[in-house]
Parts: sequence; C-alpha cells; structure tokens
Amino acid sequence: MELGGGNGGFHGYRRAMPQSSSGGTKAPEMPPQMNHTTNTSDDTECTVREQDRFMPIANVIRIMRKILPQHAKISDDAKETIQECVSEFIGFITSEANDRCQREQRKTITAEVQETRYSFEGFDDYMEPLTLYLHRYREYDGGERGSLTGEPLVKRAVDPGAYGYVTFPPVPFSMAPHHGFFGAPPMNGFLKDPSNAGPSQAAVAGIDPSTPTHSKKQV
Amino acid sequence: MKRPGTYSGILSGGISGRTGPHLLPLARIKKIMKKSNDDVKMITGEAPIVFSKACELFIEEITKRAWNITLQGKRRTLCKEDVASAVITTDIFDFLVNLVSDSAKSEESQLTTKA
Repeated sequence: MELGGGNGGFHGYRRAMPQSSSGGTKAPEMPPQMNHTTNTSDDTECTVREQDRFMPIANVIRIMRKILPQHAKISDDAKETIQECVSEFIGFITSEANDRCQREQRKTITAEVQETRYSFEGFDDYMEPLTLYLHRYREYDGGERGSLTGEPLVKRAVDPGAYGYVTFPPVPFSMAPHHGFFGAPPMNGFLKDPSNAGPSQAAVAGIDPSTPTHSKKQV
Repeated sequence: MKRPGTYSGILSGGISGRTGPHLLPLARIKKIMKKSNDDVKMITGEAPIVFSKACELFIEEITKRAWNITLQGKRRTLCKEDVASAVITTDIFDFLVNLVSDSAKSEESQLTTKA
C-alpha cells in the first residue's frame, strides 16, 4: 500500500514549506522570514510551522475530552502527537485520492474517490456518518450560509490540464453497514458512543427546538 | 439570532462563534490539504467540511484506543506511548507508524543533546 506520493514520502510536505501562504487563514504572528525550512528544534520556528501544519491544539483537546471521562488526564506530548496525527490523516486521504485520480487520468477528486479512499484504507466506518453529516449540513446550512468560502458548493467544471479539485457532488450514498465502532447512529444520525456521551451529546439526543438560544447566564 | 440547529446542538457549545458549526477550522484544513500535495490546487465546496467531521471521528477513534491502553496500564493519564501503541496495534493507522516512531526518535535525540 502506497503511503503518500513520490515527494520524499508523506512527510515531505512538512520539510518543504512554500513561502506563499493562502489567504483567509490565521496569519502567523512571526514575520514571514521566520518561516523557512529547517528541522531544528528551535521553539520559535516550530511554533510558526505548527500554525500552518496542524490543527489548533485547543480544538483537538476539546474533541478528545468529549471521549474521555472527566477524571482522565492527557499529557502534553500525547496532545501534540494526536495533533500531528490529524494533519497526517488529512494529507494521507488527500494524497491517496489525488493519486487515484491521476492513475485514472481524472482531474477531479470527487466524493466517490474520497469515499473509496476511506473505504480502501479501512475507514469505511467513517463513510456513513460522513454521508449523513454532509447531507444534514446541506439541509441546515445550504440556504443560510451558502458556501463558507464564497464558492459554489459543487464545482464540476474541469479545465483540461488544470488542477485537481476536491469536491463533493451530491451523490446518493449506499448505507453500508458499519461495524459500529462509534456506536449506531442515533435518531439524529450523529455518531457517538452512548457510553461516553457527554453533555453535548445529551443535548443532541434531546434536541428541543423550544430551547432558548440565550442560554447564557444572566447575572 | 439563530436558534440552535442540528449542528449547533451537536457540537460543543461556545465555539460556534469562532469556527462556525464545526469543531475544526476549515481554513486550516484547506491549508493542510493543499500542502499535502502540490497537485491539489483548488479545494472547493464541502471538502473541508467533510474533512472536519472525518478528523473529529479520527481523533475520537484514536483517543478511544489510546485510552483503552491507558486503562490497561491502570493509569489515568493518557500519554504519548499510549497513542503510539494504539497506532501500532491498529491496521488502519499504519500510515501513522512512521510519525509516532519519528516523534519518539526526535524526543530521544533532544534528550540526548540536552544531557
């Protein structure tokens, strides 16, 4: 099984940090010239790279705490390791899907390819919840937000010799039986192990439309 | 003010103002996707959104597995070694084996240089 493309292994994207940074992201606090490619253990440079390469650690921790019991503690290196693993996961699926498109001489990384990647790599348990998630997102946010990036939700047009698109056309997915590692999708189709249900999940299980939005404490 | 919908209710409260109804910032996901492969020039539509959910599931799964190892060791602190063990013992996490082993090696080298 290939693990990444031919760019020096899957970790190649860490070592080669292009100077150009896409707009719309959080700008690193350090000046741009600090963002050069080294593997030194300098904390300043590592901080700059982390902001670009990894998910915010606070978000990662928040998700972890949903799973763990309240008394559980997480070491700092474990948090950082999982933070790195998430980025690796994103790049892994993206690269594999892109490689498949290239092998099939396709320019568009469609949802079907993404699905195939998830399934092929053993993440078939993710497919059903992701499908439901995407459908519910479209139902909820399709009319209000439109596209978060200002772009059309579905972009099918492909210019010859152009780029690889990562898009998700609305294709009905088959409801493949999943092994239930995350627990069977409850009424709202959201994946969560009922035994570890936290407060957020309790809210999910009993969504009350009449719940007032201003739930903040009124001091 | 919008009333909490399906998504706002599902996810942890208090963060919707920062990252929208998603737990992970979409812009960051897009950035990582682009940098993972030079061929991916444009990321459109709902790809980062699906990835946001996929990453959440991924974090949950790896955390669960690591925590099981922590419990086997009768400990309450989930440490990096537990994560590494979870990665090694799970087939679908094979792509992370190098990552966790490299992290361990770099940590050892740092300890060696500091000594």
